[in-house]
Amino acid sequence: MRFVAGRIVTAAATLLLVVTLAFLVLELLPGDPAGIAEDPALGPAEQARLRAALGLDEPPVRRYVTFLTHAIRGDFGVSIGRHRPVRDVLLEALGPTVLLAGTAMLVSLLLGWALGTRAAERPGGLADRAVRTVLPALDAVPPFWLGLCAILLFAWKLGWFPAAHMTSAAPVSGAWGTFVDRLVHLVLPVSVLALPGAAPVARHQWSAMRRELLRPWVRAALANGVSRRRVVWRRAVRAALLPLVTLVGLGLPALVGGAVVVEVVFAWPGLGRVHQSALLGRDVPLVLGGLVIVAGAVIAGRLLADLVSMWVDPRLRGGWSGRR
Amino acid sequence: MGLSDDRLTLELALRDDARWIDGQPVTCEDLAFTLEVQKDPSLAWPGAGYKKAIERLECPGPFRAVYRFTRPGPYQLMDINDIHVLPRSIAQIARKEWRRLDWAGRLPAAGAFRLVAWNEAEGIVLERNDSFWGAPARPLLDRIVLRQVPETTTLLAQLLAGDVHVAAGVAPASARRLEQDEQMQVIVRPGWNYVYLGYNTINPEAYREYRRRREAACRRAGDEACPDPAPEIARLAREHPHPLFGDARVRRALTLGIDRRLIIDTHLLGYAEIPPTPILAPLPEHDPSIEPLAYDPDAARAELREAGFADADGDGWLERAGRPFRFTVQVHAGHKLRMDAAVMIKQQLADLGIDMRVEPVEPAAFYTRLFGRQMDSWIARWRVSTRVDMTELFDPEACGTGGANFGCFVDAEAAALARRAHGEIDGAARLAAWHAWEARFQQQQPYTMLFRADQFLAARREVHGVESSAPNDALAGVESWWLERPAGADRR
Repeated sequence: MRFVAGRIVTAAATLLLVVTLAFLVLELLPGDPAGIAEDPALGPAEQARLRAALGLDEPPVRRYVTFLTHAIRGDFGVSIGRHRPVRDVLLEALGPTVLLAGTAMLVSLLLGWALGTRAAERPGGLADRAVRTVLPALDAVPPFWLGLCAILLFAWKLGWFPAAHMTSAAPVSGAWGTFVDRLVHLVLPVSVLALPGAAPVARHQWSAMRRELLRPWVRAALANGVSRRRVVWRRAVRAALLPLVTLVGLGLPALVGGAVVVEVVFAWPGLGRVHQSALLGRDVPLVLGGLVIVAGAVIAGRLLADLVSMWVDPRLRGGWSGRR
Repeated sequence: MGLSDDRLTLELALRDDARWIDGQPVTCEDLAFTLEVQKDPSLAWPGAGYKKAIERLECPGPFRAVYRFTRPGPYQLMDINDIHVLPRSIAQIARKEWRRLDWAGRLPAAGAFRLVAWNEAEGIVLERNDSFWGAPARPLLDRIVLRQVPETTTLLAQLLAGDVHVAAGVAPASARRLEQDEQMQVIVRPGWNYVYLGYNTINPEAYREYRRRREAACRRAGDEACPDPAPEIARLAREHPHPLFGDARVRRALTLGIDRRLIIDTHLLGYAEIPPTPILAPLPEHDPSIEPLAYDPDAARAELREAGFADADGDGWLERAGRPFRFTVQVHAGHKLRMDAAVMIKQQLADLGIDMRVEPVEPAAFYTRLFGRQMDSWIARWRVSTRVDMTELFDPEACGTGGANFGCFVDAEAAALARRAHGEIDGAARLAAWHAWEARFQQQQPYTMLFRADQFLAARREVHGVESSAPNDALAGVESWWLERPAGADRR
């Protein structure tokens, strides 16, 4: 418990540091925070009134303190560009991002895990070749380019999947119809995120499985008549889970980063796209609010990965609590 | 009904069948509420300036409105009509909450469509307003979904695959591709904006020295904002002209030495025109007989010779009084087209012996530098209003902080013409004054007008009526659009 409490305090301190640095950087950038001064249609008096209405006439320190005290209550202010509460904008965008990044992570884990295991079990087989050639090649391609290629081939030329958005413009009836509609919209962006993401998972799983399969207990089990399938899929796989869990924790920031690009390419209405437009528009409340959510998610993901690792390998509990 | 002889009273008869979505009639009370909101300083509506000359609105009856003006003006109908009418029913919402409020679903409409959803996932969803009073010629579309697609290729694929029916803001290269597709229609219209090369006419060293003294005075007076007063900046422009751009012959030479048609053909695939002045056709204030200065490097060289520039040391670059003709043009880094144009201009001016350097500037810093007069020259864009008022851009009174005469172009004749035209009520006299102003602009070249890019709206062939859309309003006339679908299919 001490470990968990310690990690939570560290996570909160990291989050505060990230937000403070972001506020500082946005403050130091030249130009007007709201782009008000960029609109020559506004006279000095109108600019002053607009700044006051948006609370931008306050000194930076006071604005920072106000932001923090409100953020603790979940109030990130009002988006300057969208004229809506930041909390509402972020909550609307959070769901699609969780759906996209979560599905992509699940698919990349399952695919990488299955291919890595199979490749280790059958060297030289189809899975082995996929792990050695196809997945690394996809991993090397920038997600932006991969996304555009997927759109041109599968959306335009073949017409199999929609090119963009999370839902069809036409109304869809029934829960099943809604589910299928979401699913077909997910296929391309999830593939673009998950296929390259599966490459490191498969490599780690392959390496861990190879190590496990060479251990004396595996040979002993096989010599005692336990089937190879049982040894591989019941015992060795579990033993290879730990690096996988570590990989999930470490890969979360990359997945969130990749999701930003994929959300822009596929016009996916998630946090990445909201954040991108907020940054371009110098929408400071939305940038900071989005940062709290994204940084919070990444930090929480890492914490969760540590906890799962502790569950998978009980020896780690002793080490963390100082009883090693 | 109509405008009084002294142009101080404008009386309107309102339709008595217009209804808000909640069934309430649209009345003069709604107009009065709208005007009051627009003039409310606490809301800081950006267009409040247009309402300054409207003293008050009287409502003799629910469907009669009488506007009283403090002074006559040429655009009074536009002034009263600027931005949509708001329903009085929202008056119950405290105004201090307005900026924090999510308006989706709270704002009753009175048009052909009603707002159903406005969120990140669905975009803006409009559905037919069955109680619409406008009596359209055809049944309205059932549903309109508006969504943003940040990536051009994605938008193109969606359009070609039939996922999207109409796309606004299509790039020239995409438009050319779509024009070749028989399932597509592309509507091309001149945009209501122009890109220009601007010049600072004040000597930078003189301005820096002025600013140093001004800031010291402000510190003593406790004036934190420390704005530049327009008369003092205009005086600086007159007494300390920029060593290059303070001379109209130099500005003219640059315009003559830039092959703008080549820029348009190279980077806009020909989809643009060169406007001779900032008053764009077909505004009546524009004189159609004025042609843009044609590309003429020899004439440019002659202007430069007359201004005293020559390659005295034979190094290929022009000099005057030992100082080389060298300057930096700053460009908003977020606009690739302007960067491309700047690179071409650099090459063309190098042929004349002018050493122009291109500096891309981060967006926020660009405006800080522009307003702070830290630029010799810049490339920027103006959107054009149908209210013609060149005093905003070129009057000495607009040289100070908050004014849009960033380069502080000071020319007594141009200023007098613009002021006369701006205040003139008589239509013919106003047009004549603006035409004379354009001739003076042509002669003085405070800007080099680079191009007025076309704007594109692409639609699938099955969408009819999209010709009604306007360059700055893709959905203009949407109540007359209709969709040709196979029999039995739903309209969408």
